[in-house]
Parts: sequence; structure tokens; C-alpha cells
Amino acid sequence: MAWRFWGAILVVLAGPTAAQPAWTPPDASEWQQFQRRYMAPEGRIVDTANGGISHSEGQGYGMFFATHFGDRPAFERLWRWTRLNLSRPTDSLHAWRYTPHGAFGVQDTNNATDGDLYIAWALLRAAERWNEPEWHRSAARIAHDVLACCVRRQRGHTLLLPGAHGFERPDGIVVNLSYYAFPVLRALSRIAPDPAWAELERDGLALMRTAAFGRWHLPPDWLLIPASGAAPSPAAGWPPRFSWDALRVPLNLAWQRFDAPTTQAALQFWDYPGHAHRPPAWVELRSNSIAPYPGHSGVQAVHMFLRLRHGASAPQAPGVARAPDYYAAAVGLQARIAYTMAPEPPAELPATAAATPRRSWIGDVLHAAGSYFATEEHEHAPPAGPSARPTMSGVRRTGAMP
Amino acid sequence: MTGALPRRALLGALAAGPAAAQGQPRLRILIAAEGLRDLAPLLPAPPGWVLEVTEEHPSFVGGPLAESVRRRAPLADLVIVGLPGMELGRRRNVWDALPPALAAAAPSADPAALSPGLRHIRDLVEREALALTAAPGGPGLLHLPRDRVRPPRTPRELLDFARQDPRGFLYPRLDSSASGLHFAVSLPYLLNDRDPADPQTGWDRSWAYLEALDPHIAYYPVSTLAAMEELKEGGCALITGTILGHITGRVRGRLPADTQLALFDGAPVLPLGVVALVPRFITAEAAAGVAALAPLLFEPRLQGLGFGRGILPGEPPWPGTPAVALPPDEQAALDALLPTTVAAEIAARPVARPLAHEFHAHLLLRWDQQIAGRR
Repeated sequence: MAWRFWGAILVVLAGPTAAQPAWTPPDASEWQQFQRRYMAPEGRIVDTANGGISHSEGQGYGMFFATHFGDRPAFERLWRWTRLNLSRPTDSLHAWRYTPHGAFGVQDTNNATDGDLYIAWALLRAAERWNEPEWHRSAARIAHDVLACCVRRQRGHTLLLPGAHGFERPDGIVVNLSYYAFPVLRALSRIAPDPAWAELERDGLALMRTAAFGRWHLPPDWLLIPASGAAPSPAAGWPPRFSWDALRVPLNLAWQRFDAPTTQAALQFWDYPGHAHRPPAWVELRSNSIAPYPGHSGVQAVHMFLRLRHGASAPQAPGVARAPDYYAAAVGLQARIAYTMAPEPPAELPATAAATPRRSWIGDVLHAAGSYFATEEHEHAPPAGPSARPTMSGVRRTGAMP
Repeated sequence: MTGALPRRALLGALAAGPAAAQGQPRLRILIAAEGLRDLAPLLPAPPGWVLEVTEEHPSFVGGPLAESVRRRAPLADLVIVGLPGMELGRRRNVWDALPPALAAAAPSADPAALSPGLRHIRDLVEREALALTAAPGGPGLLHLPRDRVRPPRTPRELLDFARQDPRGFLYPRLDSSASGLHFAVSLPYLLNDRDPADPQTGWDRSWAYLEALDPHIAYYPVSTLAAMEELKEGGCALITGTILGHITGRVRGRLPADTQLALFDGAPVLPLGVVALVPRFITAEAAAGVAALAPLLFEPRLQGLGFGRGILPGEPPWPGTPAVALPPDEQAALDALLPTTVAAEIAARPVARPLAHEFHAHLLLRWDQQIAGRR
């Protein structure tokens, strides 16, 4: 018998009320616009702002959209391309980055946990929608491997690694709070029951309360959880900003209808009438300096979504055609879908302690070595060490330029 | 390539004959080019062999096929691709050197007797691939009479058109669309750039033009099909096209039946090539099968009905081989799509050589970074 975890929930907001101006749900034409702009015929989602590369994140988003809009052929193309091009030889996770030009293909087999979470969630939803047991099994395998590779305990806290390698440093663990997609964590607990899902939610929410920096009390894109037990701080190696990544923190919270302090902080920041450009694209959390240009349509959509969640009025969010690039379009579409989706029920826990074993550090070393030797000619050898995935910060999230 | 011939698949299936006997060796053919979807039923099996034909997107070459070659267990014994698919395989070290039997399979001919398009493709892939055919590509502009567009005849007119109507003109991404690629590759000819073959150092005017055009492009569709859908639905009034794409788009209903094709004044035609290559590490038995199949790839029926040689403008049959006539109704349909005067104008145009592989790769990368990626 599974028991349900309730403790982490702060306040569950009611859904849209009659007094609130309702957003119309995005229709199939929005998905069609997204496909024409960003989904190559073979099923590759193109990050148009980053040299046409692709990510597991984009594939996961695309698969989620295809399922949401009931487009099974598109879903199958996306999943097939993802499986054929991003699969890793040693587990069920996916290489995070694919380059179509120059250094072609997958150059770094490290995964991106948000991408794997979305791929698994989309597979689960597709399996349920179209009654495909194999997709269900694939989702479960990914969920188990996320738990095995990307969940760590540090000083009694359960943390979600942004990728299997490169985020455990001598000074602590680097996390990306925007990877805590709460509806996804809850949904995956149904197919890979494990106490870790609820722990991730509980500790993730606690981290978000702590990670409140600068005048606006906002989380940074990348956060260091010091091994010493000191307070978390913006991670070195990335600009200490609330920007393109952290934008998804309030989105994920509001999606699950959590009224956490972060959503209120983000709303106050974006609503502030004194900004030269509203909503601003980002804020530097140490200096409090504000971007000299407005946020793209994805920022605008999340801003409006938060306003609606808090009972304020908001115009219809910008559609896909108004987005300057893939990321803005994807985040905007997510916000509009999130507004109409029912929240996921709390994470399920196994009745018995048959949880997925976490890897120890030695397990990781052996895993990395195994991957290396299993890869002929060492073309896809996963790099080891904390600098294994430096390029994640190199992914440029562009906004509307001034 | 010859979607202009809608009964093709049925004819091919009928011609394929009864199911092959058990125990015969199997030859695995991969067709990895979108425009060749009617080709499979027309491929003749060598005596004593069974063909297993798989159709995939060109990206399959750079993904699963490359991985299988890396594991020394290639998924196919012979691959038929366009130039983009060949390029993907080259970058992943997929291809073996062209076997002598394959190299010798083409009808022996004085290169001077070949069509310019075919000659360019042969020159480009020499020693790596067997050139099977070339078809007329772009650059072209597609529009609909309902939009009352006076199609631009020069790049300058096109820029003015795009400036006046920000949603008026679209061209697709270069890496997944021949029409987008051919538009870009033709620009240095139209703008009298220093070296049209070298986008790295010889395209100053073309890069400046693409940058000037960029603010007036609503977005870059991911494929020619996506651009055609926009045109069809009224999302734009003008898109880039290829000569072959115009024909197949209308036949397959991707384009309205009254879609018009316009050509730039003085523009060359870029050829669309189809080549055959052998992956590394195929078995000796498979190599023998490939050698047996190779001459059959030049049979007039396959060349005519499968590739359109002798049917499409500017591309006569291989020297010394007869042309295959279309059934009268299909010929009439083709004549309606491509009036004789237009076909003659296309055939008379100079044919430009496609970019060499290193420059092709540079173009795609730079366009994504400098043009599409800066918005």
C-alpha cells in the first residue's frame, strides 16, 4: 500500500476562478506553428538561437507538446530521433547536446536531467494516452536511471544533479532549481516508486525558500550547495542572475499550484512599475542591475501565468509566432498549457523499501570507466571530473534585444 | 525524385515480380533522401539476390548508420542519398572508398557528353560515390496567383518586396531544405561576389545581403514542406523553391495546383544530385551483391521513371542509353506543370557547381550562427 506525501506542500492554490479572466488554451495551430519553426522533418527540435543545435531538453519539450496536442505521428518522430541519436550506451538517459554542423553529432555524452525528466514524462503521458506499454516501460527505465545517476544526498538533503557528471565539486554540489519540474517528479513516482521523488520535492521547495538573493529575493540560474553546510550561494562559473534558466522556477511552482515565496518574488519583480522594460529579461542578483531590454515572450508568458495564478488580470500570453526563438516559444507554450492542466497528485511512495539504489562516488567512477571502455574508439567517452559539462553554461538564452 | 509520376509506385510494385525464394542472399539498400520515396519499388534485384530496401531521412546516415559503421556492423550494404546525406556520412567516416566495380558501373561516356548538372555531381563526388543522376534544383520563387505577386527578378527586388511586407517572403533553413540552400548558394552568382564557390572568404556581398534580409523574414521554416504550408495557407506570399520541388509539390498536393514558379534573371540552376555509396565494413558477400546491382542502377527504366533522366529539363538520358517515354497522360500532366517554354528556359540556363563539402559545412554553420541565430 502506497502512502502519499503531503508535508512539502505549502499552499495549494485553487484553480482559475470565475472572477478571473481566463486564458484560452493553446490550440493545435500553436503546435503547428511550433513544428514549422522548430521541428525538423526527422524529429529534431532545433534550438534556433544556438547555432541550430539540439538538446534532450528540446526533445522532451517537443514530445510533451506532441502528446498534449494528440499528435501521435509527431511524437513518434521525436522519440525515434531522440532514441537513435541521443541514447547512451550504458543507461536509459540521453546525451544532452547534439550538434548538426562542424563537430557533428554528440560530442559529450553527459545527460541533462531536465531533458530526461521531460522525455520520461512525455513517454508516460503518451503511453497512457495511446495505450502503448513499451513507452511506459521506457519512461520507467529513464525514471529509474535519473534516480540512480542524478540524485544525491548531502547533509541529509536530497538533491537533483543537473547531469550525471560535472556538478559535484570539492566545495559542494551545483544544482539548477529550474530542473525541479514538480509535476514531472510527481508523475514519475507512479512508475518508479521511490521515496526520493517526495524528498526531492520537499527539499527542492526548501532550497527555493533559501535561495532568495538580491533586492528581489530571487533564485539564481545555478546554485551551489556548499559541502560545508554553509548557506547556498550563486554558483561560480555562471553569471549570478535570475534569468533564462531560473525563469522556469516560478513556472514549475505555479504549474503544480505551489504558492511558494519564489512565485511571489518573481511576480513582484516582473510587476514592478519602475522597470524601464517590463518584464525585464533578467536581474543580476549581486548588483541588482537589471537587463536593459525586456524579456522574451517566454518571460512574458510566465509573468502573465503567475498573475493569473495570484488572481490578478493578465492579457492572453504571446503565441508561438511572437517568440524570437525555440526556447521562448517552448517556455511560453508550457505556461499556457500549465494554466489549464490539473495538478499532479502527490508523489507515491513504495510500501516497502525497494527504492532505486543511489550510486556512491565510487559507483560513479566505475560507471564512467565502464562507459569509457564500452565506447569503441573512445569517440563518446564521457569526461570525468567537475568540469565535465562546462558547456551547459555556454548555452546562450537570448532575449529580445534592445 | 519523380513524384511527378503518381502511378510510379504501383508500376514498380507490379514489376518487382513474385516474392523471392527462400535462402537467397539479401542485399540491404538504404535510401536516405526524402525526394526518392518512389524509388524503392523500381530498384531491380540482381539475379539470385533479394533486395531489402529501407527508406530513412538523410539524418539517419549521420546517426544510426554511422553508429553501426563505428561498431563495424553497418546497417546497409549500399546507400542511395543526396549530397546532404553524403556529407553527413563523410563527416562521420561512414563511407568506404568507391569499389572499382561500382566506379565502373556508370555507362562509359566522355564527360563532355554528360549534362552539366551530372558532370558537376560526378566531379564533386569522384572516387567517393557513384553519381546516379542530377535533377534541376533552384533557385526559384513560388507564389500563388491569388496573392497578385509580381515576383521579384533580382535580389534587390526581393529585398524591397520583403521590406514592404514583413510577412511576405520566407525561405527555409539551409540544412534541411534544398530550396533554402539553393537560394543561398545562388546569391553570390546573382550579386557578383568574388568567389561563389567559397562562402568563407568569397561571399562578402551575399552575407551582407542575407543579413539585410533577415529582419524582414518572419521566421525560417524547418523544411520546404513547412514553407509550402505557409504559402498554401496564406501565411506568406512568396517562398523559395526548386524546379523539381515545384513539380512534386503540385503533384502531391503540397502546393495548390495553380502555384507559379519564377526564376531570377540570370540565375544559374543548381543540380540536385543522387549518389550511391558503400559503408565501411560490409561483408565480402555483400560487396559482390553491390557489384552485381551497380550496372542495374543505370537501366533506362530506373533512370527514367525513378530519377527522371530524359524527362526533366536539361537532364537527357545517359549518353548511349535510350530515353523512357512517359505514358501520354502523365506526359500531358507534366507539360501542364512545366510548360515547354519554361522547360526550355530552364534547360538553357548555366548550371552551377554545388559547394565542395568543406564549404558546404562552413555555410550551414555560419548561416545558423550569423543569420538565423542572431535574432
